[in-house]
Amino acid sequence: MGFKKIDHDELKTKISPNFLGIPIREGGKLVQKSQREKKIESSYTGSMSEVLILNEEFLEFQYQNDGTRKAVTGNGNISIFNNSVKDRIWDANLQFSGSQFDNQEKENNINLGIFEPSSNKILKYEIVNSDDLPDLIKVNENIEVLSEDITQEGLEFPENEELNVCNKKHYLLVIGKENKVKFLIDIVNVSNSMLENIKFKKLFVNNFYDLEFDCSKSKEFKFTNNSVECTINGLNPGEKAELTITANIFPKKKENIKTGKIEITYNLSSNVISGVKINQFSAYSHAMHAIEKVEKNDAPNHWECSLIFENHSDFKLKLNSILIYDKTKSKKILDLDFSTSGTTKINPRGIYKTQHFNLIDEKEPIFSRKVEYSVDYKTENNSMITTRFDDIIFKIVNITIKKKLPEQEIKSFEETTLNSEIIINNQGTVPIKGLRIVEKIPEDFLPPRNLSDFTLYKSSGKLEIDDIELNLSPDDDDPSHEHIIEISINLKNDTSKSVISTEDFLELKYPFKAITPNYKKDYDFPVKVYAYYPMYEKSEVEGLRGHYVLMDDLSSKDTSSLKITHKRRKLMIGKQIFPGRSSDEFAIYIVAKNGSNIKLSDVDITDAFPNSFELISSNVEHKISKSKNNGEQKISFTIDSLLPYQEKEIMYYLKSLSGKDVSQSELESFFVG
Amino acid sequence: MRLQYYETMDDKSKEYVLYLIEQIVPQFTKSELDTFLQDLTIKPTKKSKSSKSKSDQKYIQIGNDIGKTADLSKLTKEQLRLCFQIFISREKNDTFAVKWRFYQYIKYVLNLNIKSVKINLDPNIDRLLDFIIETVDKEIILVLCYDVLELKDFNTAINQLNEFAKKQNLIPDRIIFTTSKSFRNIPIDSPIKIINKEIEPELWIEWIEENCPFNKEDLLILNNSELKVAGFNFTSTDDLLNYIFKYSNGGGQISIYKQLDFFTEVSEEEPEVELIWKGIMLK
Repeated sequence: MGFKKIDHDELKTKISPNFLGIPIREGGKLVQKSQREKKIESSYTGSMSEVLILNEEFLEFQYQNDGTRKAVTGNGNISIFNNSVKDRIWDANLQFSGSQFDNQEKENNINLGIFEPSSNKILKYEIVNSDDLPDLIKVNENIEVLSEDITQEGLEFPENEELNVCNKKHYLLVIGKENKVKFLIDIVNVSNSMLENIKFKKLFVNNFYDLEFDCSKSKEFKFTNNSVECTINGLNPGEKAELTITANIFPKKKENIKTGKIEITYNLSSNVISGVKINQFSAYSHAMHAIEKVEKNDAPNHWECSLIFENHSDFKLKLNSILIYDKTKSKKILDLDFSTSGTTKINPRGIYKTQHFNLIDEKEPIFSRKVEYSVDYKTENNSMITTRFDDIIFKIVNITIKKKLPEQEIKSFEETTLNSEIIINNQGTVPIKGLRIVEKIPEDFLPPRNLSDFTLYKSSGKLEIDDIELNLSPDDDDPSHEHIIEISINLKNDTSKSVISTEDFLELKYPFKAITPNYKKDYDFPVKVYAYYPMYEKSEVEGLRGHYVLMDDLSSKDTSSLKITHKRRKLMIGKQIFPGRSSDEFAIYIVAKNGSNIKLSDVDITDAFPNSFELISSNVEHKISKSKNNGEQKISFTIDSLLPYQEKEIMYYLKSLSGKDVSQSELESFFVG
Repeated sequence: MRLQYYETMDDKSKEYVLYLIEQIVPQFTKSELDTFLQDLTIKPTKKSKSSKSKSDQKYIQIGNDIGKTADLSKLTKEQLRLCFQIFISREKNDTFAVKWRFYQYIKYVLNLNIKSVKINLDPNIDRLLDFIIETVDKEIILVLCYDVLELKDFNTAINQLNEFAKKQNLIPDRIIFTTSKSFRNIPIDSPIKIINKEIEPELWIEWIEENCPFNKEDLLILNNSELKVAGFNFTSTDDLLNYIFKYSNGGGQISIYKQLDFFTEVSEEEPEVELIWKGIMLK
C-alpha cells in the first residue's frame, strides 16, 4: 500500500498517471514552461493515434558584456509518447545519432521495450562539444548617458559598436544629480532558422525610475520592480529587433551602479542545435496478417492466394516488407520490399491486400511468410535557448571646487600681490585623467605669465608633471582689461597616468597682482574646471583619445571674497586753551580725532609754549625740549593708535614763571600737530 | 494480472477470497476490523450549511489492541469483495479506499513513530480530517485523504484547518494530504499558516513503481522463508523493504525472492523462485 511523499518539482515535472495536468518539461533545469504537452495531447483524434518522438534541447549561452562567449551548457531529452488510449506498442527500437555524444562514432540503438497506452519514456543526453555550437543571436547594447553635465570630446570610437568589441567603453553618471540614461539594444538573429517566442528581459539592480520602453517588433512589454520584459513573436534569419529603454537615475552614494543584465529566451522550432538526429524508430502494435487461399471454381487444385494485412490498432502502420516462401522455404513466391518501392502505410483498422498469386497444389497450400511492419511515427524537434549577457557598470563622477584667497582685504588703488589657491576634489569612483582649469582675472589685476609661477599639489605632496600648459589670453601686462588663464594638465599624453586619483584632490597655487583695484567695483574671479575621463578602458593601449568631459564651476558659496577697501586717512587735531585757577595758569586741551575708516598708528603731536612758562602736569606721557633760537619749549605726545573714528584727548597745564598775568595770546600759534 | 479486477477473477469463491484477504499485511487487529466495518456501513450525508461545524466529528482511537488479530472468517461475501477491491486489486480508488490503504501504510512506514491514531468516522462527506496521528515525539500530524486532490479542495481544507485548529486549540506539526491522484497546481511549496504557525503541507501520493520487480500474484519470500508475504500488499520495492524492516526479525544481509504467480496458479512443478532484491539492512 505504498505512498510516496512528493516534492514540488516532482509534482510539476514528473510524468506519471498520478499527476493530472500538463507537466513542466524538465531539461536538466527548468528553463521555462513549455506548451508542448498540449500539442501532444491534442494529437489524439479519437480514431487515430500516433507515436510522437520529440527531441527537445535546452541550452544556455552565457556572454560577457563585450560579447565574448563565456560558456554554453545544454542537454536534451528524447521523449517517446504513445498517445493511444488503448493500444500498447512493443519491441520499440530507437536509433539516433549525432556528434554531441561521448561515443560519437556509434549510432545509438536502444531497445525501449513496451509502451503502455498513454505512456512515454524519456532519454536524456548531455550536449558535449558545446563550444563548437554557433551563436544564434547577437546583442548589441549601446548605452547613452544623456547628462548635460557630461560632454564627449576628442576622437570617438565608431558608434554602435557591438558587445563583442574588445575595448570597453566607460559609462559615467554624475553623483547627486538626475541622470537620464538611454539603452539602445539590438537583437539580431544570426542563425539560419526562425527564432520564435523571444522573451527579452533586462534587469535593473538599482533604482531606475521613469522607465520608458519602445521596441520595433513588439508593443507587448511590462515593467516590474527591477526589470523590463518584452515578448517578440519571432525573428527571421538576419532580422533585427531594436529596443530602446530610457530611464532616470539619481546616484546618491559614491558607488558604481550596474547597467543591468540582459536575459533572452527563445525557441528554435523544428530544429535542434546539437545535430542529434532520430534516424529510425520501430515498434509493433496490434495487427493481423493471413494468406487467403481460394481454390478456383473452374480449376480444381488451382489456388488463388493473397496476403492480407489488417491493422487492428489506432496507429498508422508502415509495411516494410512481405516475404512469402513455399512450405519448405525453398521457393520464394512473393518478395515485396516497400523500402525501395515506396512506403505503404495502413490506416487504423485498414487492410492491405497483395496481388493474387496462383499455385497448383492438391492440398491446401502452405506457406512460410515473414511480414515486417512498424507503427508509423512522427518526429518533432525543438530547442529552448536562454542567452544571458553580463552587465557592466556605470561609474560615478563628480568634482568639487574651492577657491581661496588668503588676502581677504586689499587697499584700493595700491599694488598688492595676491595668492590664489584652487582646490579640486575628485568625488567619483574613477580617476580624473586630465584637467582644464579656466579662471577669469578681471581688469585692474594681472595674472602671472610664467608657468613656473603655478604650483600643483596632491595629498602626497607637490605634483611634478610635464604635461602642463598655460594659455593666457591676452598675453600682456595691461591691467585695463580682463585676462583668461587656462591651464591644461595631462591632456596631451595618452598615458594611463591620472591627475587626481579617487579619494584625492589637486591644489593649484599661483600669485597674481592687484594693480589698481577700485573699491567701487565688484571683482569676480570665476573658475571653471573641466575634468577629463577616458572614454575607453584601454584608451592608452588602443590610442583612443575620446574623453568624457565633466564641467563644473565655482559655486557662489565656494567663491573667495576679496574686499577692496578705500583706505584714506582723515585726522583732526584740535587745541583749546582754558584759563587756570589763577591768571598765571593755563590749561591746554588737545583732541586728536580719527575721521577715517582706517586705523592710525603712532600719531605724533607737538605743541610749543614760551620759555616763560613751565609745565605743571600732563595726562599723557610727553617729551619737552627747549629750542635755543626762539625762546620756546616744545612738548611732544605720541598716540600709539587711533582706531577708525576714535578720538583721544590730551590735557596739560602751564604756569608763568614770573608770576605775572599772562594773556592767552602768548600761547596761541605755537601748536604743531 | 489475475488479481487486477474482482470481476475478472476465475475463482470468486468465499474461501479463496477469504484466503487472499487473510494474506493482507499488516494484519488487522480486532478494533481495526470493527472500525473498518463501521466506517464501511456509514452512509455519507450532506450536511446543511448551518450545521457545518466540525466540532461534532467522530474521532475514534484505532489500533491500540496490537496482538488481538481480527477474525476475518465472519466477513460476508460482500465485505470480502470490498476488502479485495480495496487492498488487493486496488481497483477501488475512492476516498474511502485511499483512507484505509493509507492507514495500512502508516502501520509500517519508517520514520513515523506512532503513539496513537484517531480516525474520523463522521458520515458528513464534507468532513475535513481523516486521521489525527500523535507520534512518540508528541508531534501532531493531521491527515486529509482524497481520491483526486484539486486546488479548490486544497484551499478549502486550508481554511477549514485554521478553523479546526482554533476550535480544538490544536496546532499541528505536520499536515499530510494523501491522495490517489493530484493536480499539478497544488502549491505544496508554499507554507500554510495555521493560527500563527507556518507549516509546509505534505503531499503523499499512492505510488506504483514502474517496472516493479514483483507482481500482485507473487509470493515474496525473505531469506530462507523467514517471512512470506503476498505481492499485492506492496506497490514498490521501497514499500516492501519498509515492511520487511519493520516486521522481520533481524537485519544484516538479506535476500528477497519471489515465487511467481503463487496466489493465482496451481502448479505441481517445482516452484519457480527468483531473486528480486539482495542487500544489507541495518536495524
